[in-house]
Amino acid sequence: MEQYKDLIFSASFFFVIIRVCVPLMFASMSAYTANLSGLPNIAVEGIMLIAAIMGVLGSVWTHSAWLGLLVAIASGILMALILAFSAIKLKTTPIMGGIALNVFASSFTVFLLFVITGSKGTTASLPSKVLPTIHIPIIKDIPILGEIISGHNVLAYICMITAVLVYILVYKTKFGLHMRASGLDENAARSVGINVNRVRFTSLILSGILAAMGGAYLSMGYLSFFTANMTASRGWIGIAAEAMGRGNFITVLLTTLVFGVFDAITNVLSLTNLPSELLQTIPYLAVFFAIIAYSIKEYNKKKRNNA
Amino acid sequence: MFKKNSDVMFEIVKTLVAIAISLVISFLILVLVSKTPVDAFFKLLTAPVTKIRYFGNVLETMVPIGFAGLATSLLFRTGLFNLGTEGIYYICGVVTATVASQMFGNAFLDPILTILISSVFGGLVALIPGYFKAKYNTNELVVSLMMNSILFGLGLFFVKTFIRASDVPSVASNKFMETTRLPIFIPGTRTHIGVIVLLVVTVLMFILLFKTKLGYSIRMTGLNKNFAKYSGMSAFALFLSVHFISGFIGGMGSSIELLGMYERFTWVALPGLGFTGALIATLGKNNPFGVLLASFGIAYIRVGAEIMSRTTDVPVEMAAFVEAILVFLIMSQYFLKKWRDRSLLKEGDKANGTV
Repeated sequence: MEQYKDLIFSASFFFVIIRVCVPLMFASMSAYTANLSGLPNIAVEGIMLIAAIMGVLGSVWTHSAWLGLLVAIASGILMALILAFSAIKLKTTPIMGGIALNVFASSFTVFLLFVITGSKGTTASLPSKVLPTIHIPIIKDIPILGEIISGHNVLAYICMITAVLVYILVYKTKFGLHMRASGLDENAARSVGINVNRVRFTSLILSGILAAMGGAYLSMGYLSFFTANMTASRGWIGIAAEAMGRGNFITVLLTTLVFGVFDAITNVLSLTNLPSELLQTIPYLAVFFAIIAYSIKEYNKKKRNNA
Repeated sequence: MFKKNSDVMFEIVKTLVAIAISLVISFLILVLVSKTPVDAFFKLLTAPVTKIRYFGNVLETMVPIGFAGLATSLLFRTGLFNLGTEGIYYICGVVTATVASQMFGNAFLDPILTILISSVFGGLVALIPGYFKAKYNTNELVVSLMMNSILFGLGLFFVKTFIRASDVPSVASNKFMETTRLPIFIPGTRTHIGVIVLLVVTVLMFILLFKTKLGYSIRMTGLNKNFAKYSGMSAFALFLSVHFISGFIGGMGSSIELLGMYERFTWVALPGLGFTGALIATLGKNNPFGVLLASFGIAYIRVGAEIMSRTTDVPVEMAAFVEAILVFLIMSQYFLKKWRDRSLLKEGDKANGTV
């Protein structure tokens, strides 16, 4: 027991929490911005996966990690636009479109992997670039706090800034109001002159950018190469967090944080000799029980109100 | 009747145009990635019908994805976005492997019993998301996806800890008993009687959907969530039955696939068959015969891609392009809609004698 305690109550554990939370946060923000406008994006997982490989390939082609990130973001936008276009213009059910994109992404990335590297495993053989790690001046010298907050990948800090920006966008700007209105009641939104389709297209682009940054983080920060299906359901965990936040951004972020903690526990425990197959299920079990507990709470609340 | 015919005609034309477009795009992609695009394209399209063995491959491939398609289509039809067939395939595969190594040694009874145990297990597993959806309206999409990962972890742990074969280096279960093997149906191929079972289940599913009260409730609830509430059938019972049947079919598909095609359980990753089921359900418009046709089509493309990948420089994942484009075009309600509206107008004019 002592060894687990040491593993979990340490500065490095909190460092790991931030490290594993980044892709989850991007995923839940991506799901959040899309769903808020009334057009659910359940292709987060697939967009992350495609962005992860495109970031790596982009950095190989351009010899620059930052241009690689741009390529990843462009691919994320493209995927999100396909979803938005088919849902808005072709009247495809967005859920089905999302499912199709996810299935496509998992094959397409392996396809690209094989065509470019000749293997179906990883891009480790390619000279890809990694986004820089930032050591924050002054803070990095504070004991414990410095160990936890400093020394992360630049995308981790971008993630934190993005969270603030998304909050401001949603709650403090006119566009945010339009997003929420379009999601709440599309006809009412139209009746007051909001161009619902345009709001949704824009929201989906934003959603695509966020998911793409999460994907790029995985292959250009968290690891330094792409491996097949490396997202490992992180996109879906983001969607679960979004579903439980019910349109409240802060709740979405906090839920994501809780899932991140479980992910971090898994990470730390993998250093012990517990069976890895069972350890891997911990984050999913956490989401599973959380979403059930949440729905039971909602159910009881509704019942009380009706009584 | 007239309207119905023109609807069917439209669906057929739409499907054909969608296939044509996806093939054109596939060819363009082949031109980009292959040194011999014409050869690769030709193989992709025609290889499955060049040899009886290849055509057998198409039927074999069709079986697991057909079952997965039927299982998923039942859920989609009820308006339930549950993608749990993937996890059910995995865990029921583990169940099949466990059971199939300790049967009675009766070639008639063994496969039937194994498949039945696996199916019931699948049905019971599916009741988990079903129960929480029915009682608490829990988001079934998220629950089912989390369950996929959980079932995979549990299943792989079980295989490694309890039924792992000691005589092979890779992770695999003990050999299934000879008697559990499904009989070959077309000589000269590996096509087993799972194909027949798939046909039978398709027909049964059609009867269930269109000739029974439960089927009526399923269809109506899919169209309007509140239907079950007003029809007298409790939504609770409906959701539970649908989930059980779907899981049952999933467990059956998984078991049949393993007993027909494998000697041991060797899946060390999720097989992807359940997710393909979601694509197939969509392509088949959640109609049992549509699903059957779609599973044949997807199996054909996949086998074509497989044979192509063996002799050219293009990987088998090429099939994903064809599949994704098909799904998007066939799902879309507005694709070719203008053309259809115009032709409907013309028909109307003719009927009125104004042309």
